[in-house]
Amino acid sequence: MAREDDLKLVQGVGITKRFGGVQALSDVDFEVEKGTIVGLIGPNGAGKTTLFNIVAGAIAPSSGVVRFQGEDITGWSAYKVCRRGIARTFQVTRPFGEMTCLENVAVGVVNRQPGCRRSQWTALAAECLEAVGLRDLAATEARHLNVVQKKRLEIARALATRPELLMLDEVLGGLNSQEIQEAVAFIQGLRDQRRLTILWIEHVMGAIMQATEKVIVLDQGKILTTGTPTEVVNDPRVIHAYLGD
Amino acid sequence: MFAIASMNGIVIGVIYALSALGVSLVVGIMNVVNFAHGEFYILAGYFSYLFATALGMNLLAAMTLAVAIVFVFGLLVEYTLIRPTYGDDLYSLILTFILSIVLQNAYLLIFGPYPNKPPGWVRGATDIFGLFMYGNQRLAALVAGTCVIVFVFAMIKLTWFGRIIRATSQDRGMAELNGVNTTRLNMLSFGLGCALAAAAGVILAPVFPVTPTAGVPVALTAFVVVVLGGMGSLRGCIVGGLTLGLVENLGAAYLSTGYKHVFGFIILILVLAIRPSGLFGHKEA
Repeated sequence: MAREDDLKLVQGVGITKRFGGVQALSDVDFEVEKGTIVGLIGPNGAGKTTLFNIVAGAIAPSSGVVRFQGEDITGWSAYKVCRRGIARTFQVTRPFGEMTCLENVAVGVVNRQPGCRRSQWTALAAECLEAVGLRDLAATEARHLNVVQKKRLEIARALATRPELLMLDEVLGGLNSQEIQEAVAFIQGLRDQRRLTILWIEHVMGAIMQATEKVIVLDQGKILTTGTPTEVVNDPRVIHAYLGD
Repeated sequence: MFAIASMNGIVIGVIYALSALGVSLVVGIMNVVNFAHGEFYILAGYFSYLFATALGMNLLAAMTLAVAIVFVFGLLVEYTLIRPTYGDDLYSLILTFILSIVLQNAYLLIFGPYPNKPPGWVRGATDIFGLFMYGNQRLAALVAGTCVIVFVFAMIKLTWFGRIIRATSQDRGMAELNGVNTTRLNMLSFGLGCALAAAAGVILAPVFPVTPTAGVPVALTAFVVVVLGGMGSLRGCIVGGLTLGLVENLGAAYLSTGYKHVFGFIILILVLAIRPSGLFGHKEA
């Protein structure tokens, strides 16, 4: 039993969230196994981002439990969750616009390693920028970046906090098919080289099919189904949820 | 006359900038306006006076200790009064306003209404380029104020703590997701804001003696400088402080001393009419 728990990096049990009268999530159970890439899909308004926010500590669930490596992290504040090893990116990028790319990344580095030397954190931040191919823009203020570069910066910033779980919120939006291929390879590389576990909200189904081992489908705040990508796309309920009758 | 008025304007401007930095830092990070800012300024003045005169401490030690005590006092105020009010900015506004009145009356009770003045650091006056003689104490205040400002800017610009401060004032939620303990940062930055008021206080106390209510015009000017420069902008504090110092003193020299503060507010109104977010402010904020 203990071994089985070791495999679960994140586990949600009975997660429910109400915003006033709106039931955003009801009784959601999910698991993300260590070292996997798990897709989180569903129509708009299904509750995907709400679930992200709850795991990341941005909001607390109305009821239910989130466990990370077996530890109950429900309702922890966001900075603690971050320091525990969970990082996320945002669908709409939010860089610290008036700081350089290097400084943006450095914020995460110094918070995970308080008291480390200037040369150390500069090097670590530079390494994270290098990983996403932004090395040349290290001294550029983040507000001058284009959309694609800002998305890369989001990932670099998430990596800087040395996460074990990386949560990606629609990182492929606005990319062309060539760029999507590169991004998918990059994300798989992150998992393989950095031994990350990735929970990934995405609307680009091709990428989900290609990269993930497991897909969780949310619809109207409930888990519709969970399975391999092929199982999920052939599931009539999923097709119904997306396309209607 | 122009030269000496400009000199006065620069000296006062640097001190305005220094005390405005503290207000701006707290506004930028916590979105809290500290109405008791002037009273923290005065508190440091009293402490440096007490330590230097009553205890006979070394001047520099007395000043450092005074700033340190006000810093700790600021931490305590944040912890007890400001922290419970997060989520509703209006409460902290009212609470710090009450705190300023309580402190003013406490000073009146303890020290009496008399002006107190810590001993000067230096004596005499220096001949400035053969134009006029200028008091050494004021020159020393100019140098000390500039040093503190340079120190603060170096900290904000170069250290990891400064990066966390900038990140948090730009996007609080995002900073938290990057591992910033914003609750503790609030406490530190409030203490730091108070310490900056205190630094201005100990630097200026030998020139302008402290009285229980002498902090009111200081805080008022600091708010004017912050709005003039743009809410939360530290660069704006410097430009705003110097502008205000120069305008007030040149206005006083050429037009009338009685209207000194009017000139400052005229500049403020003009700037806000053209740039509603202040000289260095952002459209949104």
